[in-house]
Amino acid sequence: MNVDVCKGIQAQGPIVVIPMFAAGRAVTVDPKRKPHSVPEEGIELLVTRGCSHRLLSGSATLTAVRDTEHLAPGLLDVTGRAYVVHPDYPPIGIGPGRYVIRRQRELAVRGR
Amino acid sequence: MVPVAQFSALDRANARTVGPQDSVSQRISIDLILLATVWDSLNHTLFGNIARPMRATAPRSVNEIPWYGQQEAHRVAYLDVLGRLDRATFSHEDTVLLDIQATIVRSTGWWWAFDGVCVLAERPAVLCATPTTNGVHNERWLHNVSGHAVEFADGSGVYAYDGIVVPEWVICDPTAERIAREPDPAIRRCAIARFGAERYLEEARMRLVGMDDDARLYSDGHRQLLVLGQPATATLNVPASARTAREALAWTRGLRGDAA
Repeated sequence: MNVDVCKGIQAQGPIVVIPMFAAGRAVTVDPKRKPHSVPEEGIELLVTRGCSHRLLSGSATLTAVRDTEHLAPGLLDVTGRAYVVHPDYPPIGIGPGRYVIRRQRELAVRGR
Repeated sequence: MVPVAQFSALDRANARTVGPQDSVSQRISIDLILLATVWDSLNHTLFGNIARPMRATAPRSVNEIPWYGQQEAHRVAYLDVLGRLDRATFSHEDTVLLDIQATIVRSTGWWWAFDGVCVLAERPAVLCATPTTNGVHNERWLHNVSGHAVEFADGSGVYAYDGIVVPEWVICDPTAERIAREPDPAIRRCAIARFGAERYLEEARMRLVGMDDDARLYSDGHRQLLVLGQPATATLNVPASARTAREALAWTRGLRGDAA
């Protein structure tokens, strides 16, 4: 794909890709959880604006994790390249490494 | 059938990010370019950005297996283009069926087929859509600051700002108080943009506490607001304990200190 890859923290709307070392001890991997290869058609991470933020890669796995911050859909291991695409946001490219994929949060406000 | 399966999801996603002219110079295949420029872009505009948000506002009973009429034009348009460019050949029966589908797309809104009965809905009388922020194939989304973005002949309709369906107050009567009480960050962002970001910060007595790249932290002494992007792409409530824009951004990502 025609997008530069990066190994640092990247965001696409409310989806944030964080290198594992930066997430610290909040994220732990349950050894019973098996990594799943990202399928050819990709994996839906989150839906915003009625469309999915989709993880695409021919060389990555996603593993469910325990996250004390309760924000992480999963742990991403990339050996080649991975991408997150959404029709209304620029794509992001992810280089080789281990990452936590999180959803951005905000402080709850009192409703109307 | 539509030949969409022959391309990888990665190739399709890539073609969607490259404009038609650049696609040619990047030697993307003509079939992929047609898919991205006609099928994907029309599907996203008509179904993703118009039919789907409208469906979300309709009673559940309306949603049971409708056909979307003009909002499914991508199917007809794509086959039509393939035929015109000799990328596909159609039998006589195919052509007859395509003509019928083209007539439906030109002439009706949503429709429902039952045994012996067909219910056709009128198309909207007003439909306001503007180019999306990041589309390179002229994709559009619902947007109107002076009334309904979609309105039917009986006066009913939906309000929308930058592709987000919003409550009436966002378009017709936004106030700083209503914005502060809005729990949905997407609607709040639209309301602030509609109201005017500077005006909102002034009326809400939000002072700039600090900034870092394109993140700005505002505070009124009790409540803190993190504004991302210029113009704002997100306006998030953050804890009063965050001392800098970077700390606030780190908190929204579940990170400690200023690791953002």
